[in-house]
Amino acid sequence: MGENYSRYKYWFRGAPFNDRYLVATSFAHLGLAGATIKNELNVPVKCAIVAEKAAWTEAMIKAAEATIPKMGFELVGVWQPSDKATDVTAELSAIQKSGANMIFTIFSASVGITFARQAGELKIPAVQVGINVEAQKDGFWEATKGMGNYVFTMNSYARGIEVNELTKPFVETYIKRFGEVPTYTADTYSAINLGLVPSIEAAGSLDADKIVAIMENREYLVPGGKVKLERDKEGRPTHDLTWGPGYLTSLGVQWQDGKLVAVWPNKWKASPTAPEVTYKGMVPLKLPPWMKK
Amino acid sequence: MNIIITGLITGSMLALLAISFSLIFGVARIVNIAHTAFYMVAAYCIFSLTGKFGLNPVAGMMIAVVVVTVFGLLAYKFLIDPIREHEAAVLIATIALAMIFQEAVMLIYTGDYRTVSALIEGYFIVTGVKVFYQQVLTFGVVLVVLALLWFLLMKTKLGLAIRSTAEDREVANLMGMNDSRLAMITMGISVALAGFTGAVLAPLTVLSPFMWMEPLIIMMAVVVLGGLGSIKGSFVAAYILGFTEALVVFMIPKGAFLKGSVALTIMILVLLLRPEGLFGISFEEER
Repeated sequence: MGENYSRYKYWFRGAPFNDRYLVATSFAHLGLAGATIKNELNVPVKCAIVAEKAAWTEAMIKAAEATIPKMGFELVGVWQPSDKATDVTAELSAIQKSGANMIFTIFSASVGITFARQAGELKIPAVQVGINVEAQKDGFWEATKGMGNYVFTMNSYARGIEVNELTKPFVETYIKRFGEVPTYTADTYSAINLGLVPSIEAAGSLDADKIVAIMENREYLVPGGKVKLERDKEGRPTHDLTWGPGYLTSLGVQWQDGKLVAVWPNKWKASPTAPEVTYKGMVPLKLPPWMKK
Repeated sequence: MNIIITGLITGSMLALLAISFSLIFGVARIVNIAHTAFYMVAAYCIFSLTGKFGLNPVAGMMIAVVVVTVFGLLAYKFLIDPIREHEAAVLIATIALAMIFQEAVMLIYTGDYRTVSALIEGYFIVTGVKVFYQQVLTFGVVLVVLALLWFLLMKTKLGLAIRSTAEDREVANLMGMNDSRLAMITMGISVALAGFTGAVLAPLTVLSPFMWMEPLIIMMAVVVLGGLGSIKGSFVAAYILGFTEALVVFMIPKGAFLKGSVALTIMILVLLLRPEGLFGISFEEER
C-alpha cells in the first residue's frame, strides 16, 4: 500500500486485524495458558502445534515454531491434518506420547470440531489454545456433544463482555436478531455504519478522495474497541487496523461447562511498560481437570 | 496398534462403499456417482431422528437405511432406468442427483457442521493406545454386514442371479433372468449398503452437506485398484487403501493431509501399470 498508494488507496481493512496481530494475540493466549499450567501444575510447559493444512496457517506455524521456544516452552512437534479430517485419533495419540500439556490449535474448518471432540473424549491431558473458528460459535457445544469443554480460542465478542459502551448493546441486539454471539464477520456492521457513513457525512460529498482522506485520519469507537488506521515506518497510510491496548485486541474465550466465557485480556500487559488491560466480565482460565492427575 | 485399528475401520468403511458401488456397476453397468450422497442422506436422517425426534439410535439407523433405500429405488425407477443404456447420461444424471441431495441438505440443515452421539461412549486402552468403543462396535457391525452380503451373493439364488448377470448380462438374460428386475433389486441392495455405511459412520464423523465428495473419490480409487466391477477386488483394495491412509497419518504427522493424495496416486499407478486393477478384466469383450 505504502509503495503504490494511488493504486490501493480505496482499499481498507474492516475486520479482522492482520495475521501478524492474530499471531501476536495467539501468543498472548499461549502465554496465559502456559503461566496457568506452571502455576497450577508446577510442571514445564510442552507445546504441540496442530494446524489445518491451508495457506493461511503456514506463516503462523513458522512464527509459532520460532516464538514458542523463546517463550520458555518446549516445542514437541507440529501436526497438520486435513481441514476436513474426520478422525484425528492418530494425531492425538502422537501428541499424548510427546508429553504435550498445551496444544496450539489453528483451525478454521470442520477439523476444529473433530479435534476438540476426540481430544475431549480421549481426555488428552493438554489444554487447547489458539484459533478454532468452530469453537467461536454457539453450536460448538452441541457439535462436540460437550466434549469441547475447556477449548480456548480467539474471538471478537462474548456474552457479558464490555470492551466499551458500544459492545453490550451491539452484542445483545445481534443475539436477539440472529440467535447467537457475533463472530468477527459481524464487524462489517462497524466498518459500514461507524467507519464509512460518518466519513461520507463529514466529507459532505461522495467524492472518494475526500472520503479517503477523512477515513485515514479518524479515530472512532466500534463495539470491539477503537479503530485507528495504521501508518508504516515512513508515515505512509497502510489502511490496516491498529492492534493493542486501547485499540483492537479481540478476546480469548473458553468453553466452561457449556458456556462460552471470556478469559483474556485479564490484567494483560502487551509489554512491561504497557498499560494493563482488563475488560469488564472476565473470568479466570480453567485447565481441564484430567490434566491435574 | 493405532495403525491396525485405524486401517481396519477405514478399510471396512471403504469396503462397504466400494463393494456396494461395484455391485450395481457389475450387474447393470450403472456408474452411480450419487452413491456416497445416499451415505450422506442416511447420516443426516440419523441426526434428525435421534437429535430432533429423540428416537433410539439403533431404531434411527434402521429407519435411515430404509428411507435411503426407498430414495434409491425411486431414483432408479424414475431417473436411471429410462436412460440406463446410455452410460454417459447415467453418469451425468447421478452427478445431478448428488448435487440435488447436497443442496436439499444445505437448505434443511444449513451448512453448519453437525454430529451424532456415539452408541457407546468412552474408550479403552490397548498397549497404551486409546481406542473408542464406538470404533470397535462399528468395525464389528461392518464385518457382520460384509459376511451377510457374502452369504447373500454366494449362497442364495438371488446372489447367483446377481453374480451371473454381473459376469455376462446377455447370457443371464437368455437363461431367463429378468435383467431389469435384477438391476432394481441390486440398486436397492447397493443403496441400502451405502445408507448403512452412513448410519454406522455417522457417530464417528462430522456431518456437512459436502461430506459425500471425499469418500466418493477414495471409493473410486478403491474400485479402480480392485478392478471395476469386481467385488473381491473392491474388498481387498479397500483394506490396502485403508491401511495406506493410516500409515500416512501415523508415519508422516506433518503430511497427514496427504492421505487422500497417496490413495489417488496408487490409483493412477494402477491405471498405468495394470488398467484392469487387481481382480478386474482388461477388455469389455472378455465379459
